[in-house]
Amino acid sequence: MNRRKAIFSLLALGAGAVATYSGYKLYQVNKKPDLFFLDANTKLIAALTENIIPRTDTPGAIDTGSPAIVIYMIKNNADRKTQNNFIEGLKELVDYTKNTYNQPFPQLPFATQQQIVQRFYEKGKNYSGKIGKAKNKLLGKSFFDILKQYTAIAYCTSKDGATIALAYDYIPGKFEGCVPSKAGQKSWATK
Amino acid sequence: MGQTQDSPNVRINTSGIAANSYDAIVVGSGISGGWAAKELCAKGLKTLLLERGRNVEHIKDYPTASMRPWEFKNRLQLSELDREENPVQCLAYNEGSRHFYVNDQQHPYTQSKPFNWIRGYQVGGRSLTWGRQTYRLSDLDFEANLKDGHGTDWPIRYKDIAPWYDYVEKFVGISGHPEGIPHLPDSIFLPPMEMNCIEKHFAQKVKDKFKERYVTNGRVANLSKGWEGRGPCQYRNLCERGCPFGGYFSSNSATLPAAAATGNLTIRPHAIVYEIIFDEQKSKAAGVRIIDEVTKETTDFFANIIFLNASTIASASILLQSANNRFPNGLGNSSGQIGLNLMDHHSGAGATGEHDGYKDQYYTGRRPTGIYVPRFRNVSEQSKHPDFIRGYGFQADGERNEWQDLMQADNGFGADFKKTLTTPGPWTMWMGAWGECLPNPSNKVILDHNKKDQWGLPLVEIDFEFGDNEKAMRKDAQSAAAEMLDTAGFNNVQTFDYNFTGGTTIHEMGTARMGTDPKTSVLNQFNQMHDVKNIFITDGSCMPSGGCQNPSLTYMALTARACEYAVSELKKSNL
Repeated sequence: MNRRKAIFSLLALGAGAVATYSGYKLYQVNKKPDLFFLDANTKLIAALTENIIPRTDTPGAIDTGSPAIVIYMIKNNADRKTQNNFIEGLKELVDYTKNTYNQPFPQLPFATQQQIVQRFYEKGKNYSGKIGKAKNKLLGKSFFDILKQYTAIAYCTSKDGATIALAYDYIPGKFEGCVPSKAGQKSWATK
Repeated sequence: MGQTQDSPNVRINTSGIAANSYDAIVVGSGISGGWAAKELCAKGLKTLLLERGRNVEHIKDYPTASMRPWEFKNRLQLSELDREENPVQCLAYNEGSRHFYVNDQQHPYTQSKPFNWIRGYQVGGRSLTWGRQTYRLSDLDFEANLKDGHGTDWPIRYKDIAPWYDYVEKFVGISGHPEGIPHLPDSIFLPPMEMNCIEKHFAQKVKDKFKERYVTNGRVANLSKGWEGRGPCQYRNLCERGCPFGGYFSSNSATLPAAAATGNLTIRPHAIVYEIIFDEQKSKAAGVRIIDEVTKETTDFFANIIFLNASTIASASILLQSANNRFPNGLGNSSGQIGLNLMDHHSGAGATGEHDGYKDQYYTGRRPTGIYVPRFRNVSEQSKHPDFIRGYGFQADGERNEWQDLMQADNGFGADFKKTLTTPGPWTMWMGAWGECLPNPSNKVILDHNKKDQWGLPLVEIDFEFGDNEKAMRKDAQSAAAEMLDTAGFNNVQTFDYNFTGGTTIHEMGTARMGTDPKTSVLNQFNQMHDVKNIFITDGSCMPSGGCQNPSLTYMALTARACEYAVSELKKSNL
């Protein structure tokens, strides 16, 4: 097993009872996920991914078709906890936006959208640190981390993300171990 | 096969002994079976190569080899279905290599204790997906059992195998750098794949500070220049999908085409070995009975010599399955040793660190190897460790953090995050130990006769766990790695132990060990069965101990050596 694989497998491991936790929360993360909610909210999810990776001088999440990939990966790749945490987070965000701004998220100005995402980012931060790690294991990742990581994967593996925002070398043909980086050096898209 | 339609109502079986007879049969087409086929064919033997899985033709059957990340539906991530259906195999595969791994549902086995048996049932076996790290053993390894009393003594020493290492390396093509380290002999090398800035820095600091510790370029069966009509490596680092450039060594790219070119090779895919047929009167193996994977029909094949290269666990199970009147406990098992002393290497303990320097340096191309720190514990009187015997080597690599790492950091969102995600982050180093596992008879493979697979064969039952010596070594590996990273000026140094279960390193060895005494070993010094002289076993099962080096190179050398011996014995009519 190589390094990369070892690290990715490690991320995939989720099991291991850490401590007893409120039964209701455990029920929430392990129940049958409401996957239809994803298809009913594609515009909201698209706007959220764009908040994570907006269009700048390079394409943004929406330009690269990332929202559909995020939805696909939540449906097919994510475990149940992740699915539930993502969907419950979406629902919470819908409610919060409605109650606070009386408008759907995608229709708000981008700056306002960023403030809302900031709120959920702060909320997700509770999950860091040692206690957070144990919590993560038991209850899964926070809504924000799920949104961020799936958006990043979808974006960085998309054609425009890999070839425009990052640097993609299909067939390098050679290896050079020490090359001066250029101004505005982009990361390699693949390892 | 072997049936012709004579009239609408009469079927005549023409697959008599003559039609199904060969000079040699090789069971298994992985890294050692490929070598056996190549060597036997080259020596003029009509050779039948049996493979339990499907055929995989070099280049033609590498469907994902040229795909870009966005062409994968799942963007190379594992799905929940992967984790549910293939909980073991998915530890090793991704969306680009999944088709070279078995399906856990189709190929069950019994785990007395958790053990990851990771397999590739196809022509080429796991030589398609192997890690390609290639290191010679030395007398430190060949004398280990004798000196500390674990296992039984190897019947050979380095001088016996050294010319055969040379022989196979000249064909394989191994890139690496000669270091003149006595306990890690140099191979015949193609140019090394160079270190990057942080690795050069690390190598220099280690050299300055530590005696008896070396840092060398990973020795790898990837071609740094064109070799034997293959390669060179294009630095795509997608080896596990099969290489359309033939940039790394596999049965499919190298040994099987060479064997086929002689005109002496017949490959029979979908051939699951039911048993080795034993001729009691001649006290020899007569041939092999197979079950067709698809039709489930049985067919007998006959040959003068048989090379068993089904891989460590499968070879042992075939012998146990082939029990008969003469050998009620398994063919050639008068010693009772078949299936015992299963070993793996332990891996996944070490340390990581970040470095502040070299921010103006990057790299280009994707090198399919890293760097290597050869074993430095228990290699001399001075380096004896109080807590464990034998040792480990570090495989390591330095790289700048990229999106895969950066997306997991607490670094916000929006335009700033995007900038971070797409810009090279700090240099990091990952070092993990690959360590020796002592031979121990309680780690074993037996047959679970209560459960059968879809071909009616008893399931393999694996009973394995790492012992205290391995655990002590893992503890030391963490602190030794951290110490080296600290010394080299890394910060945020963190130790890790992934606590991999047995099998995860995919280096199974030891279930039919070589030895001088037929009472305590299965094979002699030429990998010939003590009990059944025309059977040779040259996969990982032959290993009396495992060293800490990645073992495939040793299987290749032992195979070529055994083939030479087998054919000379055959010519002398001794078999």
